[in-house]
Amino acid sequence: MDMSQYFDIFLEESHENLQNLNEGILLLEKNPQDKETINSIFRVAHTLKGMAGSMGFSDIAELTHRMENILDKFRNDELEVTTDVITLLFKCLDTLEIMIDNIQNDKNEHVDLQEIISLIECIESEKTKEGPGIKKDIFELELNEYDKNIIKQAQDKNYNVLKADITLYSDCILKSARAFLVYKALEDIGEIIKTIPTIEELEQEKFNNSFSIIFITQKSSDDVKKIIEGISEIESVNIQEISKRKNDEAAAEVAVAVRENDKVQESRREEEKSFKKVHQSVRVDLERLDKFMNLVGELVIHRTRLEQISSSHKLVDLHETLEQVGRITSDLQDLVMKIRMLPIERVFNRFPRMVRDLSQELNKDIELVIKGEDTELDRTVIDEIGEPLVHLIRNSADHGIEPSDERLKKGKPSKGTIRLIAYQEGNKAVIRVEDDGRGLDVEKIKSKAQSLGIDTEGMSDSDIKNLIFMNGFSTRDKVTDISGRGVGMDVVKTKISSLGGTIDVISEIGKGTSFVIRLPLTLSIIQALLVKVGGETFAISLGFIDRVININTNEIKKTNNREVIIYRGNVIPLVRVARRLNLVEDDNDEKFVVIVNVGERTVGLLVDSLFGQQEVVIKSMGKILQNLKEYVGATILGDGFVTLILDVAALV
Amino acid sequence: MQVIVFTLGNEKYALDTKLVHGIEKVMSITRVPTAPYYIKGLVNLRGNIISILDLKAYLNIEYVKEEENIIIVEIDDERIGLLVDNVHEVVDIQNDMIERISESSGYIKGVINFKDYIVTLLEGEMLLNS
Repeated sequence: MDMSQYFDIFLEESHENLQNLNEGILLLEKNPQDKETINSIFRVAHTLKGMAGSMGFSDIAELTHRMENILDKFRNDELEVTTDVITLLFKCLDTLEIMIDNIQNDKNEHVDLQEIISLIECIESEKTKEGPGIKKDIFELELNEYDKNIIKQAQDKNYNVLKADITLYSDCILKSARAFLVYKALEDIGEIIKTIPTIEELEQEKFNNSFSIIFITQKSSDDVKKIIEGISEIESVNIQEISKRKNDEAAAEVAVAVRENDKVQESRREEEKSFKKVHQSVRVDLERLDKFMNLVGELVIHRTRLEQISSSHKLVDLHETLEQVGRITSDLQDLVMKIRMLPIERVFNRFPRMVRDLSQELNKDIELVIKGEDTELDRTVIDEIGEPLVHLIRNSADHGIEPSDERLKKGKPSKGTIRLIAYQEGNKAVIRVEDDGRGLDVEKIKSKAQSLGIDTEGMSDSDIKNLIFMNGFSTRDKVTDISGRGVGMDVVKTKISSLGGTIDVISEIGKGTSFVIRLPLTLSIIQALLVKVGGETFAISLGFIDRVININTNEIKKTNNREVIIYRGNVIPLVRVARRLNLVEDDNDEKFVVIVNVGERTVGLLVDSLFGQQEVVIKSMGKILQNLKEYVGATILGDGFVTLILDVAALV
Repeated sequence: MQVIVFTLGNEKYALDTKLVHGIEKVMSITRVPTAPYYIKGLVNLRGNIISILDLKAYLNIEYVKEEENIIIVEIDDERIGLLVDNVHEVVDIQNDMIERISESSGYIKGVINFKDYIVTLLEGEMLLNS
């Protein structure tokens, strides 16, 4: 069978399952006694094991199986939920993640499981409490939904569903061979649904003297009994009929050994049912979605072109139709945008685990509060935003939050809090990373800036605080493993501006620090203002623009050797776009200033003339030019000309 | 192998046709300020934005006349346009017609000897690597 088509699904689902396991285990650590949590973790682990097994990744299946064993011990109260065991489970998850990543990246590296398995074995053997008389010999039988379904269908067609309990002679030598004969005999007369233990274990003789087989047949139980008894070395055969009426109970009864598990399954089934009603979804390849997006982009370009033609020829009929087309394309655009959006939960959900590890590593008591995880962002942003957030959270945990004793001395609660908050604000998504730690020390940053040769004279406190985003800036004297190499913050800023966003820091000493990230909701189609600079046309995203004013060049003032304009009593620094791009400004003295807001800063961009507002589709400029940071990309206008889109955040 | 022959300045050059995606007449090119000197700009090629490499500037060849053609090549999954003076012909050549030259500058694969004239064969893959 060709597995490749299931491969992607396997990878994707494995990542999801791992994430669920991570969350589940975190939850378990908080409520060690909660059987429901254990059961749900168990189920996820089981799914993962099954999928890995069926895809032929036996290593993964093996490790998950070991994890299941531990979980099973939790369930049976044979093992206590301790930090050590939880840490070990997390370690298993990390190993699994590495293995799955290796598969994904086509790496043939073999991950050595020996160490982790021996750790598991150590825990299994050492810590096993004397369980309340549990004999592993009693087989546990689990019928899954699928099996139950088959049974039901068979019964509807008046087939017999039988369970045969077979016991071999205790001195039987070739147990697996006998079991195989029974299996074969039953297979000849019907269809086998399940064996207990599993068929692999039967083959490997991993059972004592008895085993059970559930199967569907047209023969009566007596006939079956005779057939089985015809095989030698069998001590006894006990056939049970799984009756039709009592199907559910019977199935449940068979599934017995699994204690409450069945109840859980029932409730899960109901859950799934109700879930399915409200929410139906399809998995779509991202590439197709991108193609769809591109096509809609093309459509927008040509619509704009048609609009231009129609307005230049003044055709009323065409104009009306075009308005319709316009509405439909806008709707289509909104829709494709929404399809590409994902809740930021996908990024946030890995942080509880990270903060837990950090607080152990740093020996600090830290709580992570997450809000607004359902805020939606473009898929591209979701994929990229994780890394900067990791940096920020590490920073908060390492530099921000003080050790407990220090916090107590300051009269703060001993437990530090990091808040991760997301919400939508206009056409921007805002993500805040806040901590209630020591806050940024302006004096410290100042002296660091001076040692780097930066003149901080005349800078406001907030400007000084924003210096931390500069390359090579770390005020922490000691470099730790977590952060403090001075490479973090500028990387964060670069990444966020490459996504068309901004980052600012607000901080009060002793109270805490907040990082505020603002990101555009979508990346590919934007409203833009077209401007002319030095004979060339450029587009500026409206998202940044506060207003546009016209000025005469003699209104430009100079202060501190920097050009500024005064608008409504505010001094606004001026950037001559032409000079930034090495172009020659035209001689006209009447010019325009586009006032833009980049994060907390307001700057004026001097341009020669305005061209109007248009919807543009951002396209990449290709590999050769992608390093030019002055542009976010290029676009094709209605008249077919290529126009560059300025990256406002990089210009100011 | 098959090569496409074109002129740059006063000399003839050639490129393996395996890389070539099409030949276009020069169209309006949008300048990209702050781009390297050998990047002429961007064009709209049927809805796709493509960078145009000024091959004469790139190879340090003297400017003689206006360019007439753009050769669209695909290197490493990326399409770029090469601005050339004009394209002459596509010809089949035998491997033994290629004479290796010693002082190779990386972009040059060898010289093709057509008896009446010679053509410099460029190494297309090297063009984007710097």
